[in-house]
Amino acid sequence: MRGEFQPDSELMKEYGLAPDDLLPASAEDKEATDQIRPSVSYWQDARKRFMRNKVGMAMLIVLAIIVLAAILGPMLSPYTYQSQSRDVRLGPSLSHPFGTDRLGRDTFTRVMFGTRVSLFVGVATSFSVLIIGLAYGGISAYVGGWADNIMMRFVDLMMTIPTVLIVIILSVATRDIFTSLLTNPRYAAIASMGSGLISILAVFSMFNWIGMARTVRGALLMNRSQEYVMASEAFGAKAGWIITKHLLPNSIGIIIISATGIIPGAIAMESFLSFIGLGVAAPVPSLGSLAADALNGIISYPLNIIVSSGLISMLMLSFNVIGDSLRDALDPRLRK
Amino acid sequence: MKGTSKLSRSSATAGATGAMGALANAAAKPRRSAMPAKGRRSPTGRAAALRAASALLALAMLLGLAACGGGSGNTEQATATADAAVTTAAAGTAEASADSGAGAATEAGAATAAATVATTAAAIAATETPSGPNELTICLGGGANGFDPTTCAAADPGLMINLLYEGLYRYSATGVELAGAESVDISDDGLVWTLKLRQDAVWSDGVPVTADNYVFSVRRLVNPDVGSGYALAHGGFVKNAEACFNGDLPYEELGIRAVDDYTLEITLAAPCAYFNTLLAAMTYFPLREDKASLDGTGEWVLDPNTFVSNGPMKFVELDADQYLVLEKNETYYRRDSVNLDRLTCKMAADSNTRLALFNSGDVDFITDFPSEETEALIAQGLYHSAPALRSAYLYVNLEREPFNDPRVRRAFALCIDREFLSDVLLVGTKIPATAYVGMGFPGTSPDKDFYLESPRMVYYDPDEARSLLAEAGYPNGQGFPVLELPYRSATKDNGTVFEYLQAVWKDELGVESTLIPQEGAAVNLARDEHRFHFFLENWGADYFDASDLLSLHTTGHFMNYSNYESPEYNRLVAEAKDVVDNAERLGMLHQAESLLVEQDMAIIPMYYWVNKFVFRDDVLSNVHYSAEGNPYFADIIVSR
Repeated sequence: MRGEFQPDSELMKEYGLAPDDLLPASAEDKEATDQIRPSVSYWQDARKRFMRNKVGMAMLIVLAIIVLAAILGPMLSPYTYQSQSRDVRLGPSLSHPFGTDRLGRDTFTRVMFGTRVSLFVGVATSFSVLIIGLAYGGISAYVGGWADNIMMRFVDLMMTIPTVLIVIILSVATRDIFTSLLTNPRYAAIASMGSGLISILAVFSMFNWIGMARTVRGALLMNRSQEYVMASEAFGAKAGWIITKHLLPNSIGIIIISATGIIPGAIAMESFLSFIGLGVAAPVPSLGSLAADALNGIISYPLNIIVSSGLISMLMLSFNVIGDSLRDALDPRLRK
Repeated sequence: MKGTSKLSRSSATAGATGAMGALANAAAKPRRSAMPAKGRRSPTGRAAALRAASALLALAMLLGLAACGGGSGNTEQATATADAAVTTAAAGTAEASADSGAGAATEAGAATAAATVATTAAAIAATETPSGPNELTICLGGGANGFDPTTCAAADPGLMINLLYEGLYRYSATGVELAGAESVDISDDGLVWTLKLRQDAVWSDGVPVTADNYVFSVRRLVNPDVGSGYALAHGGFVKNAEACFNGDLPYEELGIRAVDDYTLEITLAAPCAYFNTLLAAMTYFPLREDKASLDGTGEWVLDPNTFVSNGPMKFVELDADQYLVLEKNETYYRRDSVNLDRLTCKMAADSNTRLALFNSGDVDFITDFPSEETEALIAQGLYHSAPALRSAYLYVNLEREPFNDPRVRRAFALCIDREFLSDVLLVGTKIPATAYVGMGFPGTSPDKDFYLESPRMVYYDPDEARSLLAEAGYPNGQGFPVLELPYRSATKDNGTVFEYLQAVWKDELGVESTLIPQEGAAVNLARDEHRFHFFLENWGADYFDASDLLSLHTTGHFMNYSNYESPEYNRLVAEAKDVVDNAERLGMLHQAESLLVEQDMAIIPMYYWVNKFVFRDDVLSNVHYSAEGNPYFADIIVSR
């Protein structure tokens, strides 16, 4: 085993080294060198940084509680969000923690289901935006040149459209289309979910990917000009390899941060649309439509508006704070 | 006067609290407030000087409060102290910095306010008069641009118009009674109505009300340039109205003429037993030719200086979309029976705002409020209601497949528990329907009601409904299309009604439906294009006769959204128009109603409307309602 490496005697002479000076390192020597600093992956580091942020952790717990309640609440409740009874407008009691509404439906179940709807809209929008944005921004950044130019001018064009206005117009227009599609008894199950919800998702995805596409393109371009990518290209790596092994992993932080940033925006937009009566179709509740209903009896039943608007605020706050601490954790360079 | 005193007292308290806070603040940091800022442009110095000034102010205000506790004798003294405070505050701030001019102005303003508070409170303490003018403040929703009796179609301005004008007849508690006319003479064929006008009726500028005013008003009504929605609906009863409206005949040929100044002769197109109820409608109110415009613009009704009225109240002040003031019309011939001296009407489009204004004591009377507050208002004894001549019903789209079968329509109608819907879900703010024509319409004899003569046509029987639907080929709703239910989302009650209907039709019949809440214009479009299975509509009668409601569903009528085509129904409604004998005529209308609802179920009656009012019984007394369910504001006595 030893002796495979034969040092150049002339060189050794030149440097004045005896053969004994060059011995292979022992196992102990290797271990001592290795354990100077334990190897920490990017994700371990990020998690540590995230957990050090107290406000972020507190909000993560708050969000976890809300999400759990939204998932488990309607499942454990003996009522459904649409089961009406003759006990209308009851105050809070053991069987109805938040009382019942004007049609005798359990408010707790409706609030929890509404939170579920709001969360679903937020997360689903964010997910579809992520996919569209990744594809669009990725292609634009990687192909570059005139294609990039055209694609980015299109994005600029889209940015000039006032989103709120278009979202309102389209959710009204598409709702009619979805409604007529869903009147077919074959789609009754989807219809009961509410054509409003589907059109909201479609419209949100249609308009929120713009920012995401720009972010993705920016991050990919930044990494693409780095030397290691050039080296990889020089070794003959293919485009797919470079994107999946180099560009994406190194841009993922920024992408996750912007995806988290989309959720509270989508929740706010959905609540707003439902509040003005353009959102989810009754009897499906969302936090916005619950708040709008509560407005009709704000003096007699203040609990309704406190619960629904409080949940909207808590959801928005927690997602925003978590997004902030995620940015600190995943992309420390952006801090300050 | 008491309202003012309450207001000033509360602001005085607020002022004192604020001032005390400032005082404490200044005391806590004596060194900083004592330091004079000699022309230095330092924010700290400026703030310190302001704080010193406010401490002085606080002292002045406390003194002022003490003064008004002492009674009227101390008024001058309190004002003097406050004035001194103004001077001190201004001087102190000027010394601090030239930049803080604005701040000084604010402080001075506050000081002046304090002085005013002191003065007013003291003045009130001095002059506690037992009976002031009888003033009522109400709050309505609508804008103030619709006070033209010819074109007005909104409910809220209509209340004001009924105070400003008086027609030949007026609404009484049970029907109509003579008002501007002293006597009426109807020809044997029922076509010519000769009305003798009272000679003591004058406009608010002293000009007598003459027959010409009525002639002008009706000619204006059928003038297409004015653009009244009632041109033919109301004017059409008069002979040649349609020809005049189309421009085929001059207005001189219209069947209304002034025989002399105080004799009016109206010739009808066809005999009409209930024409007197139409004469009480505002479309037949007299108008002055030298005042009213001959086009649709409402400028002439917006200027209190040129506006004239012949009703119990006159128009005094208007701040567009803010408030409107009416005062007792001293030239009104029945002025002695008018109790109200001044009516202030505030405008607030949002019903929560209206209720908040009522709760804070800013207004004494509101007509509409968020529906879910009803229970609390009933419990507090503030809720009042009067039945209105308005029926709510569902149009059934007879063109859409399963609904061409009357058994299917009946099945859907029988599932609705109208008692539960009206009494529990809508908290008793509606009256459950048993037929289409509701209460308040005259029956075959003067003491009878058309509604009470009708049998129960719709009822709650889900078992019968299920078997009817199964009979029609849809057991448990299998194969039934998903229903499209558009409705107006602005009215919260609509949401309650449709969410209830969706649930009962699903539970009892197994039929799914999609709710489509939309804003008014979009919903009306869906209705006009027949994009619905059921559509909730309500219709308020323009005159006290069942034919008003029943004529809506004749073939070709613009309100016949069910597309109901029954030759027998059309014949009954049309022929009833020409029948002079009232009992026979109403018998035909009963038959028509039975055909429309019981047999064909072309519309599904839901509930009858009531007008809702909120006021305190210990503040407002002598509140009566007319047969159409509106309060007589001029009669109300306000005691605070």
